[in-house]
Formats: sequence, C-alpha cells, structure tokens
Amino acid sequence: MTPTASGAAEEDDRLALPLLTHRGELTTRAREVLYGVDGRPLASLSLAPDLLVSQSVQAQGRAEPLPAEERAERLAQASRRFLDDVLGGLSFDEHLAYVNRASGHNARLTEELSRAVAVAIAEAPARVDRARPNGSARSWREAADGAGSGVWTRRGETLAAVLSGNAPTIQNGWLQALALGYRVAVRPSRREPFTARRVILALRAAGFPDTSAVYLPTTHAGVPTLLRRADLGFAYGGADVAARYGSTATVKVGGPGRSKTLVTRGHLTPATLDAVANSVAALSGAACVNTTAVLVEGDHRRFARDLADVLRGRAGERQTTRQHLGPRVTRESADELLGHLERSASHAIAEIPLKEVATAHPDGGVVLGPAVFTVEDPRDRLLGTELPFPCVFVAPWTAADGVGPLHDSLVVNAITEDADLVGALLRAPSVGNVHVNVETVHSDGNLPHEDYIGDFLMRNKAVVSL
Amino acid sequence: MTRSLLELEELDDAATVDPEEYLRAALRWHFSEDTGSRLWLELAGKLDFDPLADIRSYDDLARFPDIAEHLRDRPVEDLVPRGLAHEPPPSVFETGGTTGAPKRLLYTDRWIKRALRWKTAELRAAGFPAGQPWLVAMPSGPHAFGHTTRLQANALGSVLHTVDLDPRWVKKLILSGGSPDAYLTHLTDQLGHIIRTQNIAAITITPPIFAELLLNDELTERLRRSLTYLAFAGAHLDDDTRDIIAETFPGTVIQNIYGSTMVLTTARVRPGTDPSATVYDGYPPFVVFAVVDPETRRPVAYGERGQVRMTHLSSGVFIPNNVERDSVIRVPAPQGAIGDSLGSPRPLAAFDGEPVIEGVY
Repeated sequence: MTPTASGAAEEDDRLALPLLTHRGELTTRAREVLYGVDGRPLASLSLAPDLLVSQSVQAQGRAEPLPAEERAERLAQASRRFLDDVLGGLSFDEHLAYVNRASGHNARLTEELSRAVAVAIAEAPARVDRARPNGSARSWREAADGAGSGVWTRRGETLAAVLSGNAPTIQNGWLQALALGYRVAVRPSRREPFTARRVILALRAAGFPDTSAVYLPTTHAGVPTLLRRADLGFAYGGADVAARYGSTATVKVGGPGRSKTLVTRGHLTPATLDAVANSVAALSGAACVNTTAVLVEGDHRRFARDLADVLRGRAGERQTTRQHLGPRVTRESADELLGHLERSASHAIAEIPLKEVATAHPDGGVVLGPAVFTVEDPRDRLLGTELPFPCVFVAPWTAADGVGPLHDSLVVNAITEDADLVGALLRAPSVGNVHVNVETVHSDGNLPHEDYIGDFLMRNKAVVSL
Repeated sequence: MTRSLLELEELDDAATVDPEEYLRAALRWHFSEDTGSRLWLELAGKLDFDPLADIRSYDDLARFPDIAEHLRDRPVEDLVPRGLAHEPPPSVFETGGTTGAPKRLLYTDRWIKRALRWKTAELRAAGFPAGQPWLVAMPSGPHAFGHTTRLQANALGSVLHTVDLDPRWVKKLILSGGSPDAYLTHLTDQLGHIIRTQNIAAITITPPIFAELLLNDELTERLRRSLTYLAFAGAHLDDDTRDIIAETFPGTVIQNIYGSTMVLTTARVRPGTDPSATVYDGYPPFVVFAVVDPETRRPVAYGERGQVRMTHLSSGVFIPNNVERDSVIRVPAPQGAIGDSLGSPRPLAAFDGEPVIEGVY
C-alpha cells in the first residue's frame, strides 16, 4: 500500500478513491473498478483488508470523542465545506456529476438529495436529540444539579455503518451517531461510494480527527468483520441483510420498505392520484419509502388505469433528458429487473406495457419506469414486491379486509377519515410509520424513520448526587 | 536395465531422473498385481485405457478418474500398495474436510523422510532461525501439518510450541451462521501464554489468527523483539494484509506456504521471488502441477488464471489427477522441470456447488 497525496490522483482517467483510515489516506492493492450506469469506468475504489478494518475500529475505540459542543460546531462547518470546498479533488458540482453517473438519479434529484446531506450534517445533533426521553438529561452534571435524573448515555463507543447506495441521504443515520460522540466506521455502497467519502472528507476538513469517521470500502466478505469489531452497527440492504442481521441485538437493520398507500372510498380524486404518483415516482422510485402497493376501496382497475396515465404523462418526453423520471441503470440491470418482473408478475395486468417501461438514454444506460400493475386479490404476494424504480401494484380493498394487507410496510399512507383504521395501523407491529393522507415519501429529517436512531444508540443511566 | 520405483525414488538425485522413466516405473508399481494397492488394481479393470501402454506423459495422467470418493470411503488396507505390505504401517492423515467428508492419505516412512529432507533444507535457506523457539498454530490431530512441523522442528534443532486448531469445527460454526469470536479468543489466549513466556523466533500460523494477535499491542510488541521468521498457511493471505504485517515486523522473513494434503506436501517456495509474487514449484517427478481451464480442463496460457491440478507419484501413493479448489496463475516451471509452477493461489468461489468457507484455517 502506498500513501497518496491526493484523492483525485488519476488512474487510467478514473478517479482514485483511496481509503480514509484512522491514520490518513491509503491506496490498497486490492481495488475495484466502479462503472457508471452508462457502462463506462468511473473510479477505482480501494478495498480495505480485514486486518485494516479491525485496526481502524480498534483505534477508533481508543480515541476520545470531541466534546459535544465542539462536535456540533464542527458538524456545522463540515456542512458548509461539503458544499463549498474542493474535497478529494472535486468541487461540489464535479462531485454531483460522479454521483449522478453512479446512482442513476436524475440531475435535479441528485443535487436535491446531496444538498439534503449537507443539511443532515449540520442538523444531526438537533435531529438525534429528538429521541432523548423527557426524563433523561444530556449530561451528568445537569442531572447531578437537581434531585437526580436519567442521563442519555452511549451504548457503545464505535459504530459500523454498512450503507446501501439507493440515495445519498443514507448518510443521515450514522451522522446522528457521530453527533452523539460515536466514532464511526463507514463501509460505503460500492455502487455509489462518493457521497460517504465526501462527507468524511468534509468532516476531516472541519477538524474532526481521522479516528472520528473512517471510510473503509470492503468486498461483501468484509462486512461481518466490520460489524463484529464495532460496538454497534447499522446494516442497510434487502431481505438478505434483514435475514442475516435481523436478530443481532447490536445491529440495526435498515431493511426493505414495501411502503403502501390505502385509498378509501370517497378519495378516488385527482388529488389522490397526484399524491400516489408522487409516492411512487419521487426519489427515482428506488427508496424504501416509495409506495410499491396501492389498496383501493372502489374501482381499483380504473384507479390503476388513471394512475398509469398520470405517471406516463409525468414521464412524458423527460425520459431521454437529464431530468428523466425513473432511475437510469445499466442495460444489464434493466434486463435483469424487467426479466424478474415479467416472470413474477405474469398473472397481473400491466397497465403500461412492459416494453414501454425501459427507455434507452442517449448518455448510455436505460431509464426504468413507470410500471403499474393490477392484481385482483389484496393478499396477492406481488404487493410485497419492491423494485428499485417506479413500479406499483394496485389491488382492491374493502373494510372487511382490515389492515392485514397493509402489514410488513415501512410506511403506510392511509387516505381515510377512519380513526379506527389509523389506530389499527398504529397497533400493527409490522407497520413502521403511519401517514394520514400524507405521501409515503414525505419526510423532514425530524421524523423517526425506522424508529428514532437515538433509541438504538443510547440508553438512560440514573445519576444522583446528593 | 529397468530400475524399479523404489530404486528411483531413493536416489539422492531423484529429481534429475528422467520423468518418463520415473512415470513408467510408478505405473508398473501401482498396476502390478504384486506391488499395487487393492484400490488401483480394482480400478484398473474399469478404465477405458491401459495405464501401462497408454499413459506416456504426466499430461496423460489427466485421463485417470478423480479418486476422491475412494479416499473418503475405502478402508485404509485397500489403499496400501502390496509392495509395501511388510514395511511399517503408514501414517494416515486427512484432508481439511471442507468439501464433504475428509479424504485419507497414506504417509509412508519413506515419504516422510524424503519430504523432511527437502523442507528443512528449504527452511534453512529461507532464513528460518534454526535452533530457536518455533510456534506453530496449525491443525494436528488428523491433519498432517502439525505432525510434519514437529519433525521439522526436531531436525532444525528448534523447540516447538503448538496451539491446536480444529478447522472443521470453525467451518461448521461459520457455515451455520455462527460467529467464530469465542473460538478465536480461545486460540489467542493460548497463543498469548506462549508468546509472553517464550522467546518466539519463528511462527507458522493462519492469517486470520495472526491478525487477531496483531490487535493485541502487548503481544505484538513482544514479537517485534524476537520474531525473525513468519510463515502463513491454511488460508489466503492478501497482499494488503501482508503489507501491514511486513510494516509491523520489518526485517522478518514472511513466507506464504501453499500446499495440499492430497499431494502429501506443501509446494516449494521458489527462492528469491517477491513475497507478493511468490512462485510455487512442484517436486518433480514426485509432485507435479498443471494449471487448467476449469471447464475444458485444457492448460491455460502462461500468466493466465486457471484451476490447479496436482499429481503425486511415489511408492506409497498414486494420485494421478487431483483438481484442487484453488485458482492460480500459471507460471513456467524452473528450467528443465516438467509441469507448471503456480502464482497467486486463491480459493475458487465455489467448488462442486458447495460454498468454500475460509475460516480461521
């Protein structure tokens, strides 16, 4: 391994992405070429061996966190630097171009989400504090001044963040841990490793020590080591990640979303169609909060046809421009996803012919979506389908079906006035969040996503000093 | 006059014997009623060729079937060549047992002595601190490694300290979704006791276990003072990990050992090759390698990756056609030697449909 002077050192015109370890940058011999959605090589990503992962996390565990106030100040500074500085050889605009080519989000969304990351950096201390119980003080001195109190205390010192690549904002969780004083080891998505890297470069530029946050891309095989070495971990991914780490008490799993919208009688209106279309297509349709199933009380077939028309209208002429509606993916991914859809959804009615679901993009790759299907049973297994582009299944629903068909959802938007129904959704253990006539994709950064992250990261210790 | 296999393999310069003469002698030995094993004499009847007439070169050995299943299931008596029936019983060692039930291999005294001579000479040449304490954390029990290193230590005048590994248990643990943490801690506890109390000058160990040791500052510091030779075996050591280790132990000789119980030895580490590009040579005419395409089983070009096929021919064992679970780069054999040499071995992603688990071994 050789230390590198600049993160932007070029290798065959590819951006070099060295590791950001507990003691500076490092280019490893094990490297992976990263390809854009256009199929062209984009960057050369250094991969960390297990031993280095272990040594980094060990050094992080031994390091002292910065004091809370200094953390907040430096986070605010890092947020500005994320937008304004040249980091790793890239200006913010140049960075956006890389994220755009790697993630496949359209140009506007790429910028929107990247700017949201900057906000998340600055607001991390305030956002995480919303999880602090009423009965828990921020510091033991505060508690000791009165008659004693719970004190909000870290459950560990180090956090491993195993990220997915759907959206740049996947950073928001670990940033809250950093705000709490955790030292964080980030294993970025190998599809979109740029955002995590820029965040950590910004943190370092703002004066966080190298031990505060490290950037350690690894192969798939490196994940268990990382999660084992850190005190706590976040692991984002699909059903496979949930199955593997779901029962590990030290790992918080960000699993599949399977978010749904329920449209009750009296709400089959253009406004509802608009809201559902947003819920399906926002964020390239690739996020866990995107609606992937709609249950309709009333004429669900007509609703599906109307929804297909609205989504088609929105995609319109955009699909071959920089502002395409769905995500741009590689030709191989497109074939794989559509092949899967064709096989699994053979009994559903395609409201938009499958051949219209993929549009070749002039810059390379294929833009996917929208896709709308109708099924006839509210318990059809297709309603649990979650594909990373605007793709939705519409089924009939009656009050007699109850909330059963809405189970296993990260977010349910219930477009209804029925308070009992809302109550039943709140009580359903496998429903993560309940929106009442608010799009499933709505978020302002302050709402819990899969619970408040602070609940996982912190505990309450009594401190009494008489 | 025709020399017998026993005569040829006992020659001091057996390595310079004409390989075809050696091959013919080996085929005569293993396929003659009075010297061959029950297994091979029985299998000979089922072949669609005549081993004595049709096998002309080491390449032709690929026509033989893979006998792995027989090494798993047959009683050892069926494996002993009749020609050695009156010699001391062979030592039986087993393969790792990663890809199904383990296979049994017979290590005759003749073979053990011969291999010991090579290995000790090679260790001395590589800079092994003969006469100083050696710590070996490799599997013993049914596995050959623990036993051969004990003999080597004795021949090198080094006191041997050992920690035992049970690779099969670890692999089972990992395969069932369990964590190897507790087992690793158990191993490092034992290693720590030895390292703290002895002046360990040489270590032979697997990379993941050594990595655990490196996370302990006290043990690392202690080893930095005494360690001059470090050998890795049993699991893949990537270049970046080796770089970190070399940085921590400047001046220490670091070797990657590569071998297979199926050919009863580890490969010869070619002297003078850069550790990141170690070249592994066979021991012709006894042990010969070929690098082949996994699909077609035809040789790949030099510099290309392929699967490694290994051959072992001696009076005790006839392994004509063993395909290993490893992907290697084909490298030309040393001047005048038959077969291929190997570079950058690493596990194949999967072998026979079973995932390859690399645990702490």
